[in-house]
Amino acid sequence: MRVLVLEGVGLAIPDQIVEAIEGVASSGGPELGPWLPSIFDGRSTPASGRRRALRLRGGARVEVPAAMHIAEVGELLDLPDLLREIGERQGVVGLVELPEALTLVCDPRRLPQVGEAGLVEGAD
Amino acid sequence: MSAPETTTTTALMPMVIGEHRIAVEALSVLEILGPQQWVAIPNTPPMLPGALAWRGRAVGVLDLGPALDLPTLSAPSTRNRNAILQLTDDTVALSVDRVLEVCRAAADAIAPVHAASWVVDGGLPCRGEIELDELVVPILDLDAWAVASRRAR
Repeated sequence: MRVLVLEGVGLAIPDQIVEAIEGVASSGGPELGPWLPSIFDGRSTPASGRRRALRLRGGARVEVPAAMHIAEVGELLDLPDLLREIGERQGVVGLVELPEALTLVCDPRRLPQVGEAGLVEGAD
Repeated sequence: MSAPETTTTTALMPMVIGEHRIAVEALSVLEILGPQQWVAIPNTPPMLPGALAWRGRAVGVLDLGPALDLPTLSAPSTRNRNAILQLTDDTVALSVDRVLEVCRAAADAIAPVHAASWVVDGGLPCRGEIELDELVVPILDLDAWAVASRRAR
């Protein structure tokens, strides 16, 4: 399984759901989607941090930190029953063991905020 | 002639967390691990703040800090010991400071929860309490905790 690791935020996204990585204007540009770390766990947008937008299969977009890399991981560790329902509400589909850290794998399309706000009109 | 008297005993594994001692049934303990890396999952109940990887799967991290009025776990490191516990329908990692030697307790040595009722009030069901080394030690009922957690979500 390949994941797109968002560096510094402890999140990874399945590579197969990412259609494109788009640039975001550093200032004055329109928002291309909700800031994923913020809707995920309340972290605000870094004032000076570089950002990118991910266009996801289905048309939704989310903004993420610009630092990211692709990693090949052995397998997705499913959440246990006690956490599965809560995790699903957060868009968490499981965990992966990366060399740098244990990391949550998130499908942002499952987040209601992305389903509503991240689906950009006319997105291709 | 009367039948020989038999005494039922339960194997308990006492553990230390902060200044508290707790115990679980030793038969539920699958493995004791050292400090582990874990990951927090947002919006989870305070006693089940995230998960760690164990034998190719993810297991929930059980943090007794909120119930025992102790500092809560903060990612990425657990406490010094993690007891992997088999519950009826799930597996959890109970993160503690120390694990003590297993002891056998006669059934009549396990009293209804009284002195340790504050632990139950903190949201941690207990199947009883026992005196070990002159300390009253609550015996956790983690299956009851899991059932309550499922109902609450």
